[in-house]
Amino acid sequence: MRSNEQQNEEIDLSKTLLFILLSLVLTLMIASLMIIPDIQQLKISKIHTERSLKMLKGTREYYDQLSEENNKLQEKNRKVIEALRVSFKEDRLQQFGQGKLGQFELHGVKLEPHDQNFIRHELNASARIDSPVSLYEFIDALNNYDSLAEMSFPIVIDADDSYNLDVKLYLNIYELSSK
Amino acid sequence: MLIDMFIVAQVYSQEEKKRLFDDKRVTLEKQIAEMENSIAFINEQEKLGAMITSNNIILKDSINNLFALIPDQIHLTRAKIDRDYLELYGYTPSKAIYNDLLMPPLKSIFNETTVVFYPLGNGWFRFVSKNRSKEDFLYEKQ
Repeated sequence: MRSNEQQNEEIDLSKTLLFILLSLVLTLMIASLMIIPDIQQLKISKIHTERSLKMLKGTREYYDQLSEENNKLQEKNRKVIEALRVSFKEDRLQQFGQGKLGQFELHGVKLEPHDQNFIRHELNASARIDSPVSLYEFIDALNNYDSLAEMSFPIVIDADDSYNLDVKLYLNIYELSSK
Repeated sequence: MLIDMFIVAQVYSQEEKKRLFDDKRVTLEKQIAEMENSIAFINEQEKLGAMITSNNIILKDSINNLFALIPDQIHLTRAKIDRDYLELYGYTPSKAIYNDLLMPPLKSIFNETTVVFYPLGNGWFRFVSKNRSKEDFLYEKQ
């Protein structure tokens, strides 16, 4: 037979264990209550971050695509892009005309805005040639001139008795309005 | 508590990452806007270059075609070529040669064609031919 003292000790131990268990459960409950909202917040933050990353990837893809298109266009149009950046110099055009037509003179330059991005130097010119072929060659050469150059109307051609042709023509040289 | 602090740190790290991604995207969007402007401007330059090259070729072909129109019997002394107008001065051995050989091609190109003949002492005629088209008959519209 166990004594009363022994029985009391067992009851005390059980109480202590129960108390510890309850305290543990209570602590876990309190901890869970604190952690759960933060876990929710973490989940939401991860979703937002993933969404931002997805948007960034989409934007980068479009940027890369545009960048490739831009490079291709620049390469394809290098000649005209460079030509439009050349500043007009009358003496250079004079030399060019003389080189192609022989007798070639420029008579005055007028600066006109072409549109908001480009300006146009309008020039009167005259040349004396012995055959229309020289004029055709001059026009072909204009398409390869270092500035963007256009021969324009009106064109007046006078033939003299010795079959030389006096040509009065208009030239337009284009360049960027701001470089 | 330690676990909670770890979770809070994770939240902060995610928010930092998001901010970084958003900043990069905003920077890229600015660069995209600049690139779109650049592409539009290159296209404009390309268009202008193509138009001028094309106009020069058309102009050359037009002058070439004009000289090809003139029959050997007719001597041209002056030609004024404009976008919608052509003026020719010259000499013809007879009115019939002008009317049969030069007038038909001019009429096929222009809406209005007039010619005035001035008799010369040697039997030839000096002529002034004025031809007008309602539209720009050579060039593309600019």
